[in-house]
Amino acid sequence: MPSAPTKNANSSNIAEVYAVLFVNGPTKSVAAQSAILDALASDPETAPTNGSLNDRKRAPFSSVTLAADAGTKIGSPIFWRMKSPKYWGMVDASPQPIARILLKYEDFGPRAIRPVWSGVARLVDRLQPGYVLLHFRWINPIRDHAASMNGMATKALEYSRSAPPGVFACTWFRPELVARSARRP
Amino acid sequence: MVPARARRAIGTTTLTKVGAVSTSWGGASLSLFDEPWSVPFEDLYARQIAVNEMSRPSGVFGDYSEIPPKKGAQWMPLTGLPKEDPPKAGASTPPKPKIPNVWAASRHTNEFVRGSNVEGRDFSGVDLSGIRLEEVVRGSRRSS
Repeated sequence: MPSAPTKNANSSNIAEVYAVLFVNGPTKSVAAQSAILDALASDPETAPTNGSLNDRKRAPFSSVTLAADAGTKIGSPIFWRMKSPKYWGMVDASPQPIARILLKYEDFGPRAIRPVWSGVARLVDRLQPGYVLLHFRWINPIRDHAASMNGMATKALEYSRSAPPGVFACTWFRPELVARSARRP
Repeated sequence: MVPARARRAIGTTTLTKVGAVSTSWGGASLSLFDEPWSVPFEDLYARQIAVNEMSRPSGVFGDYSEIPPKKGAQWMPLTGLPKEDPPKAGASTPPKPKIPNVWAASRHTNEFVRGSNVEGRDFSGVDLSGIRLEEVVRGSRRSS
């Protein structure tokens, strides 16, 4: 059983940074995919280097090609950033009213987290999603770590049906959700 | 403890009460700490629990500690989703799937194996895909 983490700086125990964005759909179109992929590509911290509809085929990233494929063929884009800060990610290409964008940063030093956070914040400003969470996965996670990460892997359909999974290290909300939070039971 | 930038209010919503601040595009952002990656995990987790508890009465968030997740009390599922609700009263219900008569007949008899209660039987190395345990037990009883 893993021992409890010592009470010290968190960043040295962080293995991965998850950024999960829920945007309004449908995203099964070339235009919607172009908007998302262009937004990703326009920032140095989030620009992919490779991408395709096939996770075994890391073709050089081209938002035009990938958006055309995702909008017209079966499958959703998977993309990678092979240089620091490294990540892999995916975008739902779906006819549903909500779509998920997932970025999973890994293999980085503690000092890289702030630039990652800044890059995700700029991406949020561009896409203005309904809900965004940025959270961490820790090395050798214990029960409290798992509880903290609960809901981090929420998919678009669960989000649509069950509501956002809560508050994480950093969370962004769209106006509709802010207004909804003002309602009283 | 509320982050310094959280002192700017954006209204009277629940999110504001737990420290959210407005964004340039009219949304809200909430950071549990100014640099959440720099604080000890215990502090981050305690703050996360506290904020989630404070925002729970709003019914905005779902409960993802359960499978499937429990819907937030004030959340209205978005339209255009695949149907999952049970049929309304008076609507015709789809027939239950039928199992083969042989299987059904084995219920409440020694031929029926509940769950994985197969003590004393070594199935290691045996490809059981597509084979029901009842058939295996029945076959082994015949051979013994």
